[in-house]
Amino acid sequence: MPKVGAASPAVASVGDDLLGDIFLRLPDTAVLARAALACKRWRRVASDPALLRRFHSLHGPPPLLGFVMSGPPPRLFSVEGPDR
Amino acid sequence: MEVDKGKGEAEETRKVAEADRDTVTLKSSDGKLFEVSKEAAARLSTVLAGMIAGGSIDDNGTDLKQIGSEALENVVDYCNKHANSIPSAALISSSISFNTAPFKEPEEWERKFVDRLSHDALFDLVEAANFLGMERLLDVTCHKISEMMKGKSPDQIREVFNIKNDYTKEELEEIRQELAWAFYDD
Repeated sequence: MPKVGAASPAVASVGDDLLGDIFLRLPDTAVLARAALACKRWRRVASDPALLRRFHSLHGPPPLLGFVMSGPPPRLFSVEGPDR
Repeated sequence: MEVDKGKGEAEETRKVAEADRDTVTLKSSDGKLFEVSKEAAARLSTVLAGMIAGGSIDDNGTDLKQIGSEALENVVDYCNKHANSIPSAALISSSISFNTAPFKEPEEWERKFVDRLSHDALFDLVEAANFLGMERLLDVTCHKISEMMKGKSPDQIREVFNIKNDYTKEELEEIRQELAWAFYDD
C-alpha cells in the first residue's frame, strides 16, 4: 500500500455519489457498518435509503436484520443484533 | 510539405485524413496529449462516444479539463489494454443493467492494472472513469477501493484512507453499541 501523505485529499475529493458506488461493492452490511463508523460523511452516505435499497438488491435481502431507517432518530441499523 | 498546393485543397485533404483516423487525441488539464483508439474510446466511454458521434472531437487534442495527465494516461492505457478483450455487446448489456445486476468481477489483468496504482492515482482514476462515463473502469476501480475496506476495523479504515475521525467519543460508543454485531470477527 503506497504511503499517503497527511494532507492527501484523495478520499475527501471523491463526491458522495462515487463514495456510494464504492460502498455498493462491499460484500455485506458488516463491512458497510464499519465503514460508516469511519466518519460522519461516510455514515451519512452509507445510510442513504436509496443506497441501502440498491445494496440489498445487489447482495440479497438482509438476513434477520437490516437497516432500519424509519423515524427519528435516524439509525443506520436496527438495534437488535443477529440471532447467534 | 508541397509548396504550391492550394490552401483549400490542402485543408480538404487534411480533413479527409483526420476523418479516417482511427485514433482520437485527448488533452489533459495540464496540457498533455494522449492518443487512444477511437473504437475503444467509443466503446468504453459513453462521454467520448457521444463526442465522437457528435463531431466535437478536436483533432489537435480534445480538452478534458477535469482530468490530470496521470489519470488520463491511465484511462488511455486501460482503453488500449481493453481494446480487444471484451465484446461490445457484453459491455452494453452490463451498463444497461448497472443499477440492479451484481457487479462483474474484475478480470486478472484489470486487477493488476489497478493494483499497481498509488492511492492517489486510484482515486483520480475513479473520478476520471466517472466523468467519462466508463462503467467498466468505474466497476474495476470501485471494486479495488472497496477491497481496501474489507476485514478492517473503523480505525484501520481511517488509517488506510487518511480520514479524520469527526465523531466524539460518546457518539462513537453509542453507534458502536448499536452496531455491535458488525464487529464480530469475519
